Amino acid sequence: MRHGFLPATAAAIALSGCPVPAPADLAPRELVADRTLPTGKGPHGIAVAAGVVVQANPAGGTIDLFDAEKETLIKTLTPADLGTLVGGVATASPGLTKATPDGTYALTADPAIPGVRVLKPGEARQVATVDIGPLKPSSRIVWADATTAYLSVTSEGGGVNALKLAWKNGFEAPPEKEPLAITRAGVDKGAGGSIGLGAGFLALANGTDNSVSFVSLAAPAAITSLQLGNNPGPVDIVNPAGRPLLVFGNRNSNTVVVYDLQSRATIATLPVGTTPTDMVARPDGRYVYGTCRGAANVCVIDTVAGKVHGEIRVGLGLADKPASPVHIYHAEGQEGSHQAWVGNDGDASVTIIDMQANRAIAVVKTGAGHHKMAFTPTKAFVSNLTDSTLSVIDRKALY
Amino acid sequence: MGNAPAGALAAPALALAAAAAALFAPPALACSSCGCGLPGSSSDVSSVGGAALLFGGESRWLVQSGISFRDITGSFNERGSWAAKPQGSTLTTVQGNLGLTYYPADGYTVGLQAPFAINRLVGAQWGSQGAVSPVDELDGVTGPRQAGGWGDLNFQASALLYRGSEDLPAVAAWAGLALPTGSAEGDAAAFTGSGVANGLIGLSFLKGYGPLELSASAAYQRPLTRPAGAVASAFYIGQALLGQAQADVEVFAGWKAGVGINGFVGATGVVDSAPTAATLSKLKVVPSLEWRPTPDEGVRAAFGADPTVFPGTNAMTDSTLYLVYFKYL
Repeated sequence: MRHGFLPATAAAIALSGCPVPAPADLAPRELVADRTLPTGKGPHGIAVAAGVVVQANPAGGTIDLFDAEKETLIKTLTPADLGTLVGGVATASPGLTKATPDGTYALTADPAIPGVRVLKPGEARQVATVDIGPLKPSSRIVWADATTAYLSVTSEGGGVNALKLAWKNGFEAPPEKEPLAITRAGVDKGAGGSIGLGAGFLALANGTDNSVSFVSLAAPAAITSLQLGNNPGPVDIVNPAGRPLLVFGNRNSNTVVVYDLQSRATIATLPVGTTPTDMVARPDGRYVYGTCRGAANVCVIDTVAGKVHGEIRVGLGLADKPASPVHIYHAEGQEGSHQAWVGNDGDASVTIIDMQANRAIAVVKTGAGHHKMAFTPTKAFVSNLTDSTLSVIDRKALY
Repeated sequence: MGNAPAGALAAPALALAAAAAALFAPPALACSSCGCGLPGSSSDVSSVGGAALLFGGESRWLVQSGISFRDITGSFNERGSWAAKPQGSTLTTVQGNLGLTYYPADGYTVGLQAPFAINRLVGAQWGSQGAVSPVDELDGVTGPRQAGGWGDLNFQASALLYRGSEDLPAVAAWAGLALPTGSAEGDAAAFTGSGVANGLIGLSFLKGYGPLELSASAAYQRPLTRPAGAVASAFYIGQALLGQAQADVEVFAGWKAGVGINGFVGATGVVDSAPTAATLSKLKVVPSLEWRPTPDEGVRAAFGADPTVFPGTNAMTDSTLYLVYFKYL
């Protein structure tokens, strides 16, 4: 198994069967997570807020709160602590967790329950619940500003697939709620999947009719829908050099589309590895990194050139365990540097990519199972769904 | 070909029949013979000398049993780009068919074929429009999945239009009806059918030149019902044009070597048969070898592999081994 960035030509040669060894000094280091903490059953959504790691455990219906610095368990919020959500649903199996922009609160949501919980990790308690019935949270929360979030949702009528939540009176007070139907005309069932926000635009993928729809936040009633591939999934909006671009992956077509939001033109439909699943952008928007779950690599899309810049092999390179990279996160490094952290669900590892050099710098062995991640400037916390553990990785050694 | 006593292949015939296979070869089934779709539908009659069967007639019955082993290798997307199946995954199907053809009068046939399939999926599953997607515990899947059942039952009838001449081929017209008796919803491992009823009409041609036999078929398939799901089932191809060509040459007495090319071009959504419009197409090359110890019975082995370059769109690719026994009664 080679690691590191493979330029397009080298990648092509590699695909044709000729070995192209990465230079030794460019090969990623292989490390092991520094510490492992036990969690509740089936840890999934994770965030860091107020110096506390908020680890939601859907299978056990609990939320663990760890001191991020001391790495000790502060408290486990049980179903009794969390209570029922509005509507009388008595369970708590949050899989979606997101910190508020000010880092004081954390939101959790369960795709099966029409509600959102507001936690105040610094006080180790739940402070509010938000009834969003009959809508159910889907897979993403994105922040438009310090107090306004967009949540992708599923619905049975009207095509509602997004919900705007505006906490104008603080996070412990009820937010204003605005359901949005950003779908193709005639679509009745909202299937909010991945959601992208940026440059004044909001975009959502809808795999059920193979469409991606977007609006300008200044004119949310004017919806544009695209059908440019089979089973669109990951969506992002970037703004390199003041040119807003929509970038999304088609999971069944194995392509990534780059679309100009101003000229309303498709710039490129790019073949990538099998099953583009999640994506993250470098903050300047020049490069977008997409995990290819079926191909054990991350494709690097040059949004300005509208082409595939290369692909980065991820994982441990085990013959019997494909890496199966799923989630990818951006994490700020030192002195303005940026990293992409890739969760390799198949071989119990995470790969760290240097977003300046566009190469993998380390592969870290973790616990097993699906991974989600949260970061502090000095540590990374990786949830391990199968093991019911939390891997802790010191980031200082990775800068 | 007259009625013959049970021949030397009676025992293997029973074994194969028990395994359920077979084919009556209507070219209409060229699609399934390409492996594009329903593992539950017939495996390849075309590769078993399909069209030629329509021109028999001296016997009263034809029994065919066959078994095929299919391994999915990847998929084409809507732009014709091919991608390998997800790393570490396997998608295999063992399919049997039992086919019966009755010749009520010279130049006419009626037939039925009943397919049965067992799928084994490891780390991946098939999706709509020929897609192959990885699955794991995140999707609620842990470990291999194996399931199966009856596929879509097929009925067909044919009539000889022209007996041919020294220069022109014999021509037969035929029609078919496929019923959605296979599974097309729920567990992907149990998918054995298209999920819709299909009507088919076609023409078949046969021409011999000494030891060389050429046959070809062209057909049109139209869905008669609408897919149940919001996105069409994994083995649904909508309305389609189907084609196949087969060449066989007798290399030794009783032995024939052949090669077939099967393909289809389908379109969903064109006749309000699917919610999302797409075109689907695929080509398969199937070399084969047939042995007839007596004029009335024989076996055929074939291996089909899909090219991974154009002209595929929205279709899975596979490699498939076919074994067929046939006997005229």
